[in-house]
Amino acid sequence: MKKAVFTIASFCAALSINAQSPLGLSYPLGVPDIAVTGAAAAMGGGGTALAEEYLGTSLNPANAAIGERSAFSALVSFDATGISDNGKSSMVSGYMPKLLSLIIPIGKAGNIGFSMQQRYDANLNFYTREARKIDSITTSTSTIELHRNGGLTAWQAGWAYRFANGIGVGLQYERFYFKRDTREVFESVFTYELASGANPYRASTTENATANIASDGVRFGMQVPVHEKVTLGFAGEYILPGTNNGSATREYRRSDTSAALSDTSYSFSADLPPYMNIGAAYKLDDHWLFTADAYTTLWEYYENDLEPTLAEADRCFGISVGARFIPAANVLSSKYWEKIHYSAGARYATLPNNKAYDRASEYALTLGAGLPIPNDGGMVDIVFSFGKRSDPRYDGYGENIVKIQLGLNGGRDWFQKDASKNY
Amino acid sequence: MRNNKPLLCLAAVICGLFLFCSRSDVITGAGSSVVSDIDPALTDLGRGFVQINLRANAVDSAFSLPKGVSPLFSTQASGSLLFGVNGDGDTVAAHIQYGVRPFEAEGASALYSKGAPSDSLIGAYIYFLANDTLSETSEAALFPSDTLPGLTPVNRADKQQSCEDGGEGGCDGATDNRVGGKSFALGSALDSIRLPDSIARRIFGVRISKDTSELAAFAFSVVDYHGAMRKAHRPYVIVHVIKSENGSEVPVRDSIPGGFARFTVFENSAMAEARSIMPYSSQLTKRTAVFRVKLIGPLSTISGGEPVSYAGLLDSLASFGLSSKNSELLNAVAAVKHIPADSEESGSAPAQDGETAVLSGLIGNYKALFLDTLLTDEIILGLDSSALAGKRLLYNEFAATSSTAPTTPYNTHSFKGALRSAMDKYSNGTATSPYIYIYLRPVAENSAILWDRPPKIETVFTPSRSQ
Repeated sequence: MKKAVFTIASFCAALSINAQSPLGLSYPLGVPDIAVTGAAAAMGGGGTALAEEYLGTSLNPANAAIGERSAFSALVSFDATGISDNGKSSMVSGYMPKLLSLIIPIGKAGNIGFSMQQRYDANLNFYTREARKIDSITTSTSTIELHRNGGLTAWQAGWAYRFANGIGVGLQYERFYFKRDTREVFESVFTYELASGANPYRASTTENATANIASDGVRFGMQVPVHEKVTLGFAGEYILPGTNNGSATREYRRSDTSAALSDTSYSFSADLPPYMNIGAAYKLDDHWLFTADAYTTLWEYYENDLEPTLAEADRCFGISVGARFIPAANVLSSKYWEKIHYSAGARYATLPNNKAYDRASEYALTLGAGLPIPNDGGMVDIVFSFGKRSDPRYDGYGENIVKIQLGLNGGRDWFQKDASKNY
Repeated sequence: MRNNKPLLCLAAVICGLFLFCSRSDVITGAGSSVVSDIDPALTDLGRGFVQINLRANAVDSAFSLPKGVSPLFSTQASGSLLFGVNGDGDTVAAHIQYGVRPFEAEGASALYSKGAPSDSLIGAYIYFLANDTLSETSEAALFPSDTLPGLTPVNRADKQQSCEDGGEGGCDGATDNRVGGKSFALGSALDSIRLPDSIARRIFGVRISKDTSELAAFAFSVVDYHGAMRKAHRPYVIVHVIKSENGSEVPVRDSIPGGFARFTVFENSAMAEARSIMPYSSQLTKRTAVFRVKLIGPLSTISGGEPVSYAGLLDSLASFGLSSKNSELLNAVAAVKHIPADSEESGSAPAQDGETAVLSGLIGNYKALFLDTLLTDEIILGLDSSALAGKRLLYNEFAATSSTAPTTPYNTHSFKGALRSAMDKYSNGTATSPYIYIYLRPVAENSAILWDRPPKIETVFTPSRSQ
């Protein structure tokens, strides 16, 4: 059954229909989003300081140091966004895999970790249409379509080690890929209701543009127990400056001609912004856990020859707090509902809009439940998130966001004894 | 199994979420304030689409081509022999050519090969099979003709009359050079004429020849036939031979199919002028209706007794801040409308004494062609010395368009290519007065259509984003 769930999740992830936000048009890499495991998402997206295998390396590369165990985590997010814009409203939804994480022990040398994070979404399917009746049999329809697809994905591989005193350190190499495919369509349709039947004449111009950036970076993390119940954590990443690490293409076509009216390609340089986060975790007892995180993206270091205006983004920061409660932790004979990890959290973050304007921001409240899979099969996280996103640059504009996130976690001891030999 | 229930429920929830999310992935309306901030053209339909419609009076002239009567224009290749006089008084003459090759050249076994005296030629006949008009019994005649290159018109002079001396310079009776000295009627769906012995011998000789390059070419015309329009299969030539075989004589019939056939329509000269000044078109004569649409300059019309003036298409475009250079033609559709034969409007060229009115006849499929150039008689007939000489341009251009049947209240055609071309020439300075020419011609057999002015022309432009 676990295999079946995984297969369904993988299939649907491959057919992802992207979550969307028009605000992503005005931000350099799209709309930022948290890409953490289900356990972290349920606590408002925090857990930098928390040493726990179900948090993977998404918040802190040092968290790969989980001992002689292997751990797998994945998260897919179903987003529904209600957009209100000066009296008009629209509802859009989509889903996207946000995270894959794998930690493998390498004996006394610590652990190695691999992960993929979808950090920014630049997706949008937007159209405006008007149908005008010219006379009793003629209709003229004009449509403008804007399609964008892409975002920033980080692929990471690294090593982590935890010392005997509980201090964990981790170092990762990161490879960033930003991809954005844009298609703008202007379509005109004349439709004639003639005696011989409806006779439409459809014609359009299409502009296709792509922009791709590839960059390398390093990420360092640390988790330090400062008290029996308190741990502090830090993680920071630096992306190496790029030279001609971006490529862009643009072509302009008419629907009735095969040759492009315009077709160009060029390269450009882009430097992605550094990012860092700090956090604290307080484990009151076996039932209660509290986390608090703060993070920032240093957009002042972002450069992009292709879009210098968008590059003038304001530095972003965010905070999150969360708590987790397990009614009957470590009680073997407890009921199933008593084993569930109940979590709640809140998150506030600013958005990378142009620094000439007031800050754009978003906030979210989260509720989550970690459902243990029987027989030490791992954990399935279900997280509900309710939030709002707004940008003061656009009066009367707002986005209400509802997310349902599904996390899948699995782990096992790397060096297990063969149980059959005990008999 | 009990432990699987939560996971089954979870799988069901996941599938439900996937289905829900896949059903609304497009934003409409809301969000335009953000999108327009990035590019106002992406939300402003008024700016992104400039629609300019022209009314029927944008057509500043309507006529037909060719201006004069020309059998050069009205000669067509045909799968049948067509001859006679149609309802509009146009006379059709037919021509068919034969090319006979040796049996050996065709890779066929020889029906007769030894030659005289073993196999003896009886004669050669041409056999007609009627396609239609079986009730018509007027007799037609076949006249020997030269083989004609290309689409050279049928030669009416193939019929040659001679006068039998009646004494004192008069004629007792006129005779002509009709083949076999007889006519054919097709009244019984089959008729035949014996070919001259000289042709029969020539065919016989070539058929049994060992020289595979030998060719016997001969042709016939059906001219000077003034009965109703007739249509016949391309006639076969049958060669009758008596073959000696094992001491007995066996009759052999060698069947030779007809080759390239054509017909030429000799337009009713009394109607040619009236037709040339009207948007009249005919499948038989290939007369083509033409409408000239003016693209610049004010156009005037009378609306309710008051003169109304409005700008041409390109002037209207300029009023939107666009020009032929900085705009992109997105869509262009013209409506075309015919005048039915029973319409009151069809009496615009009434019949004179001995004439026929210019009106629609049989109405069937037609072709519409949009060009930015006017095709003159000289160009379409290949009579001028320009680069276009030798090309029947209108023939070639029409061949690339598809046909359709008239419908109610009008038909529509896209003409983006022609309009773009006209605008390019205008913006390049090579056309100071750009026009669009609409050419209309029926393709259904024996069809004739009188066209009304195109009731409307609708275009949509968008600011060019090619830079």
